[in-house]
Amino acid sequence: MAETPNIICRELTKFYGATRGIENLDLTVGRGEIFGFLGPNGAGKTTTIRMLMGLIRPTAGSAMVVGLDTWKQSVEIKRHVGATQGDVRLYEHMRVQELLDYIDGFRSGAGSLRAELVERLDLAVGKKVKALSRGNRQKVAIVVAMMHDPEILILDEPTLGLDPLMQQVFYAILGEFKQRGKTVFLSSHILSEVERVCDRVGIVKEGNLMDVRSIEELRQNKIRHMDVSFSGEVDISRLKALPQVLDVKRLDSYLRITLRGDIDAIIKEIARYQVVDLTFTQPSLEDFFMSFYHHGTDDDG
Amino acid sequence: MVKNLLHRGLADRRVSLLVYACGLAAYSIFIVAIWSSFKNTQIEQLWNSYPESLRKAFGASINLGTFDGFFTLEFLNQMWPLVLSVFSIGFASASLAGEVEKGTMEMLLAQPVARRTVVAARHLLYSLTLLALIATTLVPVIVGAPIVGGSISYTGLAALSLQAFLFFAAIGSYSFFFAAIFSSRSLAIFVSAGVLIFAYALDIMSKFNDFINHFHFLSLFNYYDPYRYLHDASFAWGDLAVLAGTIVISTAAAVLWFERRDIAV
Repeated sequence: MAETPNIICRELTKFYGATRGIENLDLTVGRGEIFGFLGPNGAGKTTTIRMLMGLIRPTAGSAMVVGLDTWKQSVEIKRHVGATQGDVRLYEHMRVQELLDYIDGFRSGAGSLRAELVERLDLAVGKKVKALSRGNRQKVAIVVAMMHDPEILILDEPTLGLDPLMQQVFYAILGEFKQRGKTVFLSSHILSEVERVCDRVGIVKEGNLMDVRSIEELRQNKIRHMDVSFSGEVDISRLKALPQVLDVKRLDSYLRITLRGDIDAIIKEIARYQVVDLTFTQPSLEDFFMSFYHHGTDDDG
Repeated sequence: MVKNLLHRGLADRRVSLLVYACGLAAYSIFIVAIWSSFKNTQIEQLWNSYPESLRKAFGASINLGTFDGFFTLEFLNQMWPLVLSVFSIGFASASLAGEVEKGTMEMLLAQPVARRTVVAARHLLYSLTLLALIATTLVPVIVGAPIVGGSISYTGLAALSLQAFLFFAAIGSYSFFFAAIFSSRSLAIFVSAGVLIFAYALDIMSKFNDFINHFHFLSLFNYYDPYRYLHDASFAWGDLAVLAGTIVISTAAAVLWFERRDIAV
């Protein structure tokens, strides 16, 4: 018998008056999976997370976490869940140590990972929260979410404000959670982050879930830009003829090749010339959404 | 769970509670201390020479020539309700609306704690601190009255404590209700204070206008009569029942509303 998914959303909808938060969201997240919820600001990511945490009531539809209704059985769910807010708000007047003690107190001091997380994230627990930088506040929120070793993590933009070094530490910790069979629901507007840590990705835009893909499918389908400098002339028409190539532009001293999917044929084609430099640039989130949107339209057509 | 909320709530408010306690105790000591300067004067005659309307507004039945009358008029009738009402409204608004506004309620409710537990624990802490502040006000009277030659009834003090607790807890409880509804602390304070000012105005106007007096029962101040309790230890059970009912209904409404509302800044 198949395992029940840890997170299930069925036609989950939230409207704030006439303003749409999220509409008809259908998705499942399995045990041991890291699921990325990718979308720009205002797409409905935080609304979804607030409904999963039982902070706001769905206008329609339902959400279940560990088989329990997120609105009616919210307290029981939170015994299994650790969460961070997108816009981290902490008790400003407390010291970090006091804040962690306070939160620990709701689980009878079950913060078994607290010391390890504090050390790995290099968190100064003696400081007052109001004296902390944006990044350090985020670290506090991460420790609060993870210290009791929850079965499920629900993280809203968890790396906002973290420096690159701390982002790596966080990704490593997340990887260890996954290895121990934990489920992670992570919202982000950073494509590279989602690509790096997630197994599957839900792409949300303007309150609608546009697609759910595995990371492999995401890589195959996403648009990338390859900037190549050559020492001599290049026959652009041969490049344009390749099915993976969407566009070729000459920009100053290099060519910008916009491509989707497998790069093997393109590499073999440009290898026929003397290559001086080659770089890939990540597409913007908007480019990425456009690529998916158009791709979806093409498929439908 | 409740112990954690109580412990943290007390730690967060220790400074403000100390300020309130010291202020109330100091004012109480001051009023007790100055009684010795007034007791052998013609203050009673002076009081009786005031226009009746003025005496009605501040308590016509009070005998200013007695210690308990003097203490009631100088402290319990005006300053005490003002200070403890400010305390009650401030406490309630910070406990719910304030936390929602700051965004920390999201972090709190991300823990395995029921919303009703949060409201109940905050209300319990409020009630306990209110009792402590009432005691802080009245202990100087117990200790100081015999020293300055004032006559005081301990039964009256106990009766006053009960009535004062129910009266201020009623104010705190309806403030908790508004704090459960709104996501802005200032809005919760504004509405709660507005209700209190309306109740006070209604109380005063009822003493001068027979028509308005028909609606006196709508004012919480109609059920607050410290002199009656302190001087006679006479319980108006109907009044106490109204105050207790206000507490129960307001608190239940606060819990029900807070359980059903969206928590989002």
